[in-house]
Amino acid sequence: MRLLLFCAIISPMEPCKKKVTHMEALVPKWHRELELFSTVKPLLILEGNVLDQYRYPVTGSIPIDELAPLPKYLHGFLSDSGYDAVTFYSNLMGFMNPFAPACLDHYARLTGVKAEGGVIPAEFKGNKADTAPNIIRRAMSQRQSATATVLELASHYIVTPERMDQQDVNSFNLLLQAALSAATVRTPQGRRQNLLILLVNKLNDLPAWFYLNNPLCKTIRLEAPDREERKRLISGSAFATFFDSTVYRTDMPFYEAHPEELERLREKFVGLTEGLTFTELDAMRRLSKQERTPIRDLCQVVDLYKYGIRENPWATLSMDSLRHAREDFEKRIKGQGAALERTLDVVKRAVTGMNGLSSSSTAKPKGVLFFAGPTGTGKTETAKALAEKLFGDESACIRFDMSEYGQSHSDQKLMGAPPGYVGYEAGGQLTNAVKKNPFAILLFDEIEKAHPSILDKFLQILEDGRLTDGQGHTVYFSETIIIFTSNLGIYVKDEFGRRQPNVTMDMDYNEVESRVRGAIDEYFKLELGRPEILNRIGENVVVFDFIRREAGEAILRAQVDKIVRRMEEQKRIHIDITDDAYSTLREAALRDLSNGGRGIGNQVESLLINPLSRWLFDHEVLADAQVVLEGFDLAARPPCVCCRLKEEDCHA
Amino acid sequence: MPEQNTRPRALSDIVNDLWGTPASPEPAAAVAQHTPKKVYQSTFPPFEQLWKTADETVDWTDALASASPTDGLTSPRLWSFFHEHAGAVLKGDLNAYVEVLHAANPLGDLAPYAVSFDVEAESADRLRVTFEGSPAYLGAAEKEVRRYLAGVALRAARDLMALLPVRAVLAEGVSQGKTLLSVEFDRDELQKVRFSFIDPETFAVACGGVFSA
Repeated sequence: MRLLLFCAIISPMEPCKKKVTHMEALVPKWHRELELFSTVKPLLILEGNVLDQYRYPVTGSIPIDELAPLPKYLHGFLSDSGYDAVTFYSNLMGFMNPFAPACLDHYARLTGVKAEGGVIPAEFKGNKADTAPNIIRRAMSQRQSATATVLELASHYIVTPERMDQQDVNSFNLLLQAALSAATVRTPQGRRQNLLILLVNKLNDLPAWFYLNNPLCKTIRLEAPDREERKRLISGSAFATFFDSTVYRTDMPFYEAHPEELERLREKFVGLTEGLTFTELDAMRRLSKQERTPIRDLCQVVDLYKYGIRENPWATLSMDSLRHAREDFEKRIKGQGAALERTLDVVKRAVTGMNGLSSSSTAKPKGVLFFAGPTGTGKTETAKALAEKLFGDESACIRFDMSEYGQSHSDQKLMGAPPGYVGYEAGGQLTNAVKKNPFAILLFDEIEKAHPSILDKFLQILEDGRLTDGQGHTVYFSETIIIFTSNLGIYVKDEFGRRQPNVTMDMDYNEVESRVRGAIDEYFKLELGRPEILNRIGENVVVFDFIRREAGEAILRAQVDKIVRRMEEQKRIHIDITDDAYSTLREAALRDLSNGGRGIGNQVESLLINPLSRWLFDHEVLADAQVVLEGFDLAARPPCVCCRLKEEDCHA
Repeated sequence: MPEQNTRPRALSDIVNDLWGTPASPEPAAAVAQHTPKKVYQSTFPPFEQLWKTADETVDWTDALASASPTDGLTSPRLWSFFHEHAGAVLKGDLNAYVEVLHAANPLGDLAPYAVSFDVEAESADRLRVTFEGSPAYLGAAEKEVRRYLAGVALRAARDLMALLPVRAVLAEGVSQGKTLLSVEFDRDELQKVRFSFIDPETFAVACGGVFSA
């Protein structure tokens, strides 16, 4: 029974930890540089991500793959390399070795000082014989034991390199002399040079003369974990540590049966955590465990960690409201039944999580739509209606007028300028907007007017769902819907280069759709030579129909009702429009529908709003009144309205 | 689940298993010559603290990944035991549950509050713990008896959830074959509770518990 049980423990689900040799392990570049240069340079400066923890990559005194703070890591590395007197110095505490106090005692004997309570007190600067640089110089020059002295937080020993006093200079000079006098010592691991290591946040926290053109010195840069290291952190049995035990036990069988899902999840997580340190990743791990995050929601922990508690509108979206979306949309957008249906299909796919099922990247935007069709047919309005439906607010529709991005350098406006260029600090308009609100509809109006170089960026967004701005921050588009609008296909050029209408009002919708789609295909494939962009959009081209008479009437009625309602609400002025007057307005407003709904709006403004305002002002009707609009004088310039006040409510 | 799996183990056995063999006792004569040295003191939670505290939660996923303690609190020997069993426990292997229950004896410190505890696994997700009420408490007024039953049930459920990755524990208090309380505690619900501020009886009722005492 027991034997069988132990077989189960080492079953394929969680294999026993395999012994990893040095060559097999993923050894970060800085570790390899440390190995290489610690044998040839007595002075090493570790710069950058020095406050982080690091995964110990080799077999040694620290268990392989264990995350250790840098000092502990260095102690393990140096001890394993044959250094038997390793100490850590900070200008506040003195010399210490919390990991192996015996090392400190040994160091004290070698340098002729006394350790008290686990510390050798020593100031960084001063004229005494037992200042830290003097002790280090003695340690470096002796030949009995291999010593390594690590100066922690060395960025903070002086105010700034420009404001050093003579004692500061002397102290660094002594460190230089210590490096110059570094002795070589025999150890069981071979010959070792006594070593001085400085840990600094930025190299220029140190005086330049200390490291520039210094043949004794090697600077090693510590970066945030790269993709491979992040992947390793979430692979093998380490993956389990991201989850509460109960959650892991319940969820894992599904992922064992579907390893490709697990791999996809890991890939997405690795992508989303770019730029985060090991310490942050570890905090995220603990957060995930604490919140009892299901395995499928692992990537949401990244949002939780980065943005704090934020409702994910996608998760809280009411299915009921989507079910009635078509009716709601039709209240705002008239005469576009087919286009609305196509649009809602994409949204439903996003909500049910079926978007991207056919692709390898789950970090892609939730949906991509390409709205085409004549002007004023409701493309932008549909995007706004969608934003309101999905995110509860029209302002979640972030609009970019691509005619402003027609220059070759315009991509810097969207993504941010690179370091050293004007506007670097400001970041990019697009990347900033998505950083601020990752749950949004991004509307790129009149995409054909953007410079082709910008289309390359869109290609990346559509494919990978992310973009790195000029400051190096990666922005994720995985929670957005991207909508491009375009008037492509409405006009084409004839053989003389003249614009000719490609579609007209007398064509039915099917013909309009077919002609517009054909023209879009032609534009991307032949004119632009970028069929791959069209491929990313797939079948999501939505062609909006012309505003036809029936839709025009509905639009007009909606606009007039809105004006009447607003007057009533804001001014308590009740306006009655007689049937004759409305009929006159309708004939005038719907005479030319080539400009779509926007054209109707313009007519309403010039025939109704402006004349009515003028009449109200001239007759001093500013509030609390009933007005009857009896007709229009359209022959007058500007057009006028014929109104009268209802007697009983006549405003004095 | 076989009955033998739920038998309580002697504390000395557990200590032997997990922390090594204790030093041999000194000969009686030698002991008589010295001031007696306290080598062990059993501690039981006072009744008012019973449901307010619970055993430390075992982090099985950490134990699976690491052979040495990651929390800095658990003894290496105990961690090693968890590490060995983590794979099977996380697979929901009921035999592994049995081994872990025997080794850790999570309800051992509740001995003064019940005549016996029987733990059964209905599935890898759900345990049933049945405790025979202690006559010392069952003779009290009805209100007190209810408080006692709910307190023991809650504590037993918490201890079992701390040890094993189960989602629910059905706790039943019985006396002479009669069920006095039956209540199911859900891990998700317990996660939200601040135990110092609750009344066990009220909480048990809120969890759908039924008293027949």
